[in-house]
Amino acid sequence: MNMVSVLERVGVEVEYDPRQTCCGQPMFNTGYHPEARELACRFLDLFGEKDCIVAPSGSCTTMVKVFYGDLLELPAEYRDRAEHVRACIHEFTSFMVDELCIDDVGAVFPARVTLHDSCHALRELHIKRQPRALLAKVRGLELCEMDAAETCCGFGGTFAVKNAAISGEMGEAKVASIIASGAEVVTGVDSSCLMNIQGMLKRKEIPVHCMHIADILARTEADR
Amino acid sequence: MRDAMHKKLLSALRTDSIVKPLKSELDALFLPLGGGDAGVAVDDMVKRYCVALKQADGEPHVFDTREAFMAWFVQLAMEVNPQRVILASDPIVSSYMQGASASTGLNAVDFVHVPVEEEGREADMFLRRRTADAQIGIGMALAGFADSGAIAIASTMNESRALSLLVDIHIAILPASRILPCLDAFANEMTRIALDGDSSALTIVGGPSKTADIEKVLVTGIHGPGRLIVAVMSDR
Amino acid sequence: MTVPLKPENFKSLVAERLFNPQLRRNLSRATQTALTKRLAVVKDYSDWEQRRLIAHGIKKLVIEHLPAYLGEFERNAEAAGAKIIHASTALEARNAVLDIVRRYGGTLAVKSKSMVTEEIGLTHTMNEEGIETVETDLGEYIVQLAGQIPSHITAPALHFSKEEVGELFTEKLGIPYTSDPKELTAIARRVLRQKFLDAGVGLSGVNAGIAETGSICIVENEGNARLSTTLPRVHIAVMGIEKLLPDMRSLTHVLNMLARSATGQRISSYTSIITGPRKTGEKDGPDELYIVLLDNGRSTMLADPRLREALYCIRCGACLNTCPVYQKIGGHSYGSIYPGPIGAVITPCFYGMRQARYLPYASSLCGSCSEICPMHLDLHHLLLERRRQAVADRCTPFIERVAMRAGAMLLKHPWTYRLAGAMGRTFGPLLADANGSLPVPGWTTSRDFPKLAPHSFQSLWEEHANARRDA
Repeated sequence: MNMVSVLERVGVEVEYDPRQTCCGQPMFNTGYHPEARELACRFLDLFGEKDCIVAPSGSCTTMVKVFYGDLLELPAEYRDRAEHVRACIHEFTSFMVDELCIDDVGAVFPARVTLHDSCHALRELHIKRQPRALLAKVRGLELCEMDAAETCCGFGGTFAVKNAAISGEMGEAKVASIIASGAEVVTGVDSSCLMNIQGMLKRKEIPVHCMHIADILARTEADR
Repeated sequence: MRDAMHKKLLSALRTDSIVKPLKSELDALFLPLGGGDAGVAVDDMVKRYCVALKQADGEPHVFDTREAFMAWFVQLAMEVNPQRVILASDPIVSSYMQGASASTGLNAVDFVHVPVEEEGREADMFLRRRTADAQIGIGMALAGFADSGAIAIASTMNESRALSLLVDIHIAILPASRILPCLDAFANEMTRIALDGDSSALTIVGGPSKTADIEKVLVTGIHGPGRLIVAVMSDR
Repeated sequence: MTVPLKPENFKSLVAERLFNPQLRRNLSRATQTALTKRLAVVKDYSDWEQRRLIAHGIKKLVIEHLPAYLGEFERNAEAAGAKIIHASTALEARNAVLDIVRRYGGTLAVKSKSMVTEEIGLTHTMNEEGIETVETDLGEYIVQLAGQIPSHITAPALHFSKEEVGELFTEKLGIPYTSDPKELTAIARRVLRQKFLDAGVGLSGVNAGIAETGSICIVENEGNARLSTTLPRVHIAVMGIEKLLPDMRSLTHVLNMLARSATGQRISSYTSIITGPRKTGEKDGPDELYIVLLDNGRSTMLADPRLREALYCIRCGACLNTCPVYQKIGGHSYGSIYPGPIGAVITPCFYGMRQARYLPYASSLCGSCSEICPMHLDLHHLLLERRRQAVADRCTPFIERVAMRAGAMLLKHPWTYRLAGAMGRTFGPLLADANGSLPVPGWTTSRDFPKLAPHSFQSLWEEHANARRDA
């Protein structure tokens, strides 16, 4: 909802189709292409005609923008829609900074914040500058970059369950970086990473808050 | 066997063509790299070369004259006390090392010249044994590369491979005019050397023999010379 | 001797290493150092990204026209006096080498570091057949003495401490104990020098074959490859058929990338370009050069347009150094000669997907490998393709297949999706512990499961839309 408030605050008219479910990424990532294709076709049924789609997730955006192409081998009748949607879908921070050219959303959030660079967003969509540009304009916010911000948090979708031990150790390393940064809040553009990081922080009872960047950008003077 | 393998590869690529792409297609790939270091002054190249070689744990020295080189070599010999030195029979090496054995400080050193004439297997083995007991080998560098500090050496009738391999200290004489900006500039010459049929082994030497296989601690001189010295001659 | 590639071994191998503080420290230090050194020399080129694309383009040209370039290489190598042997399988390659060695009456062989000879198990076979075959690269020598396999492409003995090496040398060589790397290296130099001088056969791999001249290029820092290919009378080089480059200009381009990516050097200590056996007039060098061209599954990768790119790899090991999984578990955990990201892509080719089925999943798909690869391989996408194959070949756990099917069915229809969400919100709190964490297997070993939101986005949106309408 916070992404919606921010978008509306800057004058964007937001629509939401309650029939949407999933882009098929967890299936695709684990190698289950037939299942992923089913969900992708469903997604294209709903979104195929839309001209501008925004997602608060680097990984979902990547699934559509990058993997709905040749790798997924969609049925012929869906190819045109896929091409269209791939051009129109944007990750939230990229939409704000690259499409709307807005970096100041009037947000107020006095806190020390560190940013985790989610892998899909960073390496598939080249999103690094955009969230930082937005955070820079948040009043009162102090950005404390962590070491190894670009290193994977260990989530990796089903990897977190299939190789839980390794995933856990990668998460530990990320948590150590977060603590070393001195931040009170860790943020990012992907809920999946954040869920992983938050889970570790809570288990270890570390008093660092975990918030999606939309949640930070939605904060205004009124929320102080 | 050959036919079977080739057939398999053709079928894997779903083609029956054995025609190579045109050379121009390959050359076009390199166009984005542009010209490079055309027209860099020799002095600057020498400086860059020396900095790069030092960074690679090599030892560059620049000499203006043959005398300066010889004076330095005498110093080195006093420090290292070699029993034997193997000398390439390249005219440049010969001219620099001429009369070395008569030099004070060097009379105890056994100078062995690589025999130029074809002398058969026994003679080759004899040379190898003597090289294995030599501390220093002095040979030629065909080229130097300013970006890396490396040199190119080749096995020829004047210089054995072992000269730069079995000894503890390899000294290579590099005329300053032979320093190129980078290895790419040497590619055509590498092709010529390979196709000419006189030399079977061209080696680009980038530093002393080294290993860090034990706990990543750098150690020089494992299966080759522990010291690579390049004598850059700026008089030629 | 190899750590057998067994799916059931993986979890225990990982656990052994993941929770071994010494190994973790060694790995971390080694990989971080390698990455830092690499960055320092990559900076030499402001056009590094462009160079990666060019390197990729060169290999693409070669691989797409492999028969033509291979033919050219063979002709030119033979013209220079080398003898070419074709081996489709590891067995054929081993037999070809044994055949040559026996023909020359060789009883001692010296061998330089070569992944492809490990791949075909050459050393082991030769020693079994009574031909003493000594690994001469220091790391490989250590690993051979200890009866293990290397744990990294370019740093085989990464997992040994200097004390462990000292103990090993004392035990196997009978020398007084020392743990000083310089002294240990000097001992190895002395012991191995004699082997080089006595050996009748020298074995090597090939970093690149040059089609235009029929030359083979061998890259190293120690000098053992030069010695192995100079002193013995016979030199046998084993070359994967994908290792070709068209000409010397391509070679220099790739060489500029190789040392920088592998060891953070501008160039290795020795890059040897060998064209045929010794020529008339040369003072030393082998009398005979045999080049064994090896397929062993490469043609299968070639046949798959989606995997073909994996053949561009120059074995620099950079993907290992940057992989956050490799950094934690090390090379042995993968159970293959080729560990890390590239290993996970190519190993199924050599052993079959069934045996290697866990490898494509030993990754979080972060993509750091693809970023660092000098040949611009899309490694993490190649891993995705391997996962697709694992599923298509029915090599994934039954329960997982069922869960994926069920998940897809559930997510296809909004009403099942909403129902599932509602059920989770209703029953979740009943199963949750005091912190609100649900007991999800695997996930909860090291972290809490998030508290489920009290309201679905759908209901919040409905509220919001209504409010907007009423405003």
